[in-house]
Amino acid sequence: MQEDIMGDLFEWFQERSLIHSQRRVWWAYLWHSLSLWRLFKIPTPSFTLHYLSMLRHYFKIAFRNLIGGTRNYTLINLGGLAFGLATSLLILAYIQYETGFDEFHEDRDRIYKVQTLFRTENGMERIGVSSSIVSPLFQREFPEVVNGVRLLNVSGFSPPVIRIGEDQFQEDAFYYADSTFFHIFSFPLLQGDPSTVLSDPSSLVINETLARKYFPEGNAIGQTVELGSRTRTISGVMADMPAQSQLQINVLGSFASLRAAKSESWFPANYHSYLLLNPGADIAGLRRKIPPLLDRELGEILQEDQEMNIALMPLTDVHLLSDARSEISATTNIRYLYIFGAIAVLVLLIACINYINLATARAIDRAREVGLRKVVGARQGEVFSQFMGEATFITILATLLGLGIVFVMLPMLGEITGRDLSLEQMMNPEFLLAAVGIMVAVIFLAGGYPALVLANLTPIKVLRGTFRNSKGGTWLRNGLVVFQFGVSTFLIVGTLVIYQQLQHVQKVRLGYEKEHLVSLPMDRTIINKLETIKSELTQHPQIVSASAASESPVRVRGGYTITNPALGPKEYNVQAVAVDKDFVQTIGLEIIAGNNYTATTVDEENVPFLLNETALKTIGLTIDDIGAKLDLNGRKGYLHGVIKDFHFSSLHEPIGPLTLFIESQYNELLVRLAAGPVPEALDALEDTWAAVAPHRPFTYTFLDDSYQQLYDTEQQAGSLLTAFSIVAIAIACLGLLGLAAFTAVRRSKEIGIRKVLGATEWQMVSMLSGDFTKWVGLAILISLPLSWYLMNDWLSQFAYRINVGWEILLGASLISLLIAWGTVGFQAYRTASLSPSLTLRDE
Amino acid sequence: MKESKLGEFEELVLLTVAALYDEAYGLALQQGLSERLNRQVSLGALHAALRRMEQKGFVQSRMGEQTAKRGGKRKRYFRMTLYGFRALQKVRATRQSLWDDIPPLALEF
Repeated sequence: MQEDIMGDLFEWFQERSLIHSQRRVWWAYLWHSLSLWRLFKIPTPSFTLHYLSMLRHYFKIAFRNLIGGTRNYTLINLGGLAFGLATSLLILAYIQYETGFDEFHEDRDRIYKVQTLFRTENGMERIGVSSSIVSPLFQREFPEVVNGVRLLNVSGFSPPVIRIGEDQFQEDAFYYADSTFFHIFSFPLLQGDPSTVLSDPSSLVINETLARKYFPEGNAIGQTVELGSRTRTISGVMADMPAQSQLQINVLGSFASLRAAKSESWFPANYHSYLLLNPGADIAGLRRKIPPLLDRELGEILQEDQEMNIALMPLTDVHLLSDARSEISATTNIRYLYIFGAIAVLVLLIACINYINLATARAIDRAREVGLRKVVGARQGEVFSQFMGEATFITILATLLGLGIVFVMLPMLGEITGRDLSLEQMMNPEFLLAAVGIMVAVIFLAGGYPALVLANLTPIKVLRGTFRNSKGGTWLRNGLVVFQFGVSTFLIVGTLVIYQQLQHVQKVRLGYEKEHLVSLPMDRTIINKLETIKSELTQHPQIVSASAASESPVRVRGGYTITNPALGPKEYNVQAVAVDKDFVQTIGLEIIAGNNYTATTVDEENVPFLLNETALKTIGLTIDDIGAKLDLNGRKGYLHGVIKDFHFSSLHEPIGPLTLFIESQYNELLVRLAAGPVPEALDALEDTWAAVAPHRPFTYTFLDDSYQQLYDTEQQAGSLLTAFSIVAIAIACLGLLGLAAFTAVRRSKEIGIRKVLGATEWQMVSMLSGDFTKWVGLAILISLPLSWYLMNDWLSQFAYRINVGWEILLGASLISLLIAWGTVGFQAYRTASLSPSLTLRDE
Repeated sequence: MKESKLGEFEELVLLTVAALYDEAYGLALQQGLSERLNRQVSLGALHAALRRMEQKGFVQSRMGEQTAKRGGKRKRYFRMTLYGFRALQKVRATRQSLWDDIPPLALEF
């Protein structure tokens, strides 16, 4: 502090002290001292002022650059980035949805699904169901298992009908469950006591929606309904099960009401069992204890070459990782999630690459600006920040745009995947964090390289003009074009292959006529009146024939074992369907040896079996062995006829052995409608139904629709892949457009001179296109073998498949080339048509 | 070059500097102003004004001799410059002309 001011202060203090009290003087002293801050208030042209005005300048330049003369480039960059970001975010949303299944259960870390493994000719097979004895047995034998619940899906066989007064409701999501259900799973029970709500055999728990549907005016609790021939009481109302749950149940019946509840058995294994372990249980140790237990219990029951094992899968793994057949609900193959994740990264990469390409290309133009800046004193850091800042600005804008696109596209994605994707779902912290993370990554990746390049320019090189044709830059640019088009070509190939395979699946001859075939659910009452119903139905001209079976031929799951006593005790696994005598005609199968069924009733001591060719081969018989003795799970009979092989399962699997036998455990009524207008036939069907089966609501399914469902996953994959291909191509095109425009502009002088010397526009266009064609050609060359290999791998999951033919590869290549030519050509033509007087004007 | 402006407070300080002629140093100015204005003038405000005026060229300063008083710290004396005087005159003239413009009617309350 200045000497004189200190002196003044001192003198003042002295004089004041003489007049006033110490305290007052000190306070005033404080005031005077503090007032001296004013001395530092004097503004001088300093650091802060400099930065402020520079910032304003940078903004102006950035704005001018982006909006002004280079508006097209900016738009291209913006569009590409926005698309890339939108795609990644959509895929992120989907992945997040799929991985979030079953997370709402409180005890999810302790709940395990029981899966059964058993040996077949194809090795060990895994199914998602288990025996009724597993849950109680494990609870008794293993201290780690503290609770368990068994679920039986009866809707799968014959959907139950609930009658309330005059109304009938067919329930397709009806399960029987042990009374421990609500103690293991965290499904909120709106009304009713979780401990007792399923104890009584006549109790029934329905969900909210059904409660409102059945009892619109009042309370559901305590009301009675008719289930088949029995009466049930509503004992509880539960909240609707969330979409992200592997359990999708509308009605719960008490397990105690089932006949099966009275005894524990190993066969049949029809139940979905879940076990609850105690906290901190040693799951590995538990798994080791299972085989000895199974040996003890099953030792005598199983034959020599038969093997059975029990696996425990954590609840939260089931939706994505379970490859078991007959899981409780449709699983999502986690492989697809990985693939989509990879695609998201690829697409984002392509978009960033575009930005880098374009930015570095234009950097050459701005090199002079940068050089000048450096000459007048801009430091490296400043230049770097300037371009990073521009990149940040564009990226943020692109992110906002991308979010807008996501907003619009999300419902469509939900439709394609069949999942309930909503915006609320997306508004969770992990997703937003990831989105921000992606944005930051893009800023660094896309903005970093050009900014670095420009910041490290030496003014001399720039102003002399030698920066224009740097080798390194050209390498990178062309390499990036190759990468982009390589990826696009691969995606096109993938899409084409998937669609061709789907076509194939539709067109392939199944061995029976699946069109015009309708299936209706059956129950005891209908079975008893079967012949009457069939004759009533066939009286209508629109109905050709009717038959009953335990399963629809679209997907036969029933597993049995068959032996040929003459050849030995060896048991063979086969699929088998209980049918009636009209099955073969109604479905349209071909008998190649022996006879079809003729009689309605059969001799139960000597059941006639129809085997397909594969079954015959498996057992070791030939078509000359008609009459050979056979035993199917205890049913003794003989070979009555041989059917030509037909597909009774999805084309993922080869045709297996199949046995048909007559027994009245039917679940489906199969009706063949006459060719021609379908609505009339359905009306006739409905009329007959109302007359013969008034106790059931009229519901039907077309077999070709059921067949389609077998390939839902592939349909989805196809649609998604198409979408991705379009996006990837769009982005690649944008990149190429920008690059082509830029190159064309750069060479505009050269073009001008050539034109003056006599070249035509078209020659110019092909010259410019030729360069790019080289690179696209390279991209195609690299990606074709890769695509071929990868798609063949995907196709290997189908037992019946197309080959990745050269037509597909050629087609994809042509598409890529055409798109590239179109893009480049358009730009090239525009530049080539410029009159040389314009381009050669300033030199 | 634009002429530097004379703020209101600065005007008062400058007048006091002129009034005290050769004895115009920090404390004396502060006491004189505080008495005349009937309010406490802070040392900070005063010295800030003095510094500004010195930059603008209205006053010039010189350092005094050392004395035992004031803890050995020298005093800084301020003197008005011709430029400062001109500025004062200008302000005074402006004010006077405004006063002259007032019609007698406006002064009847």
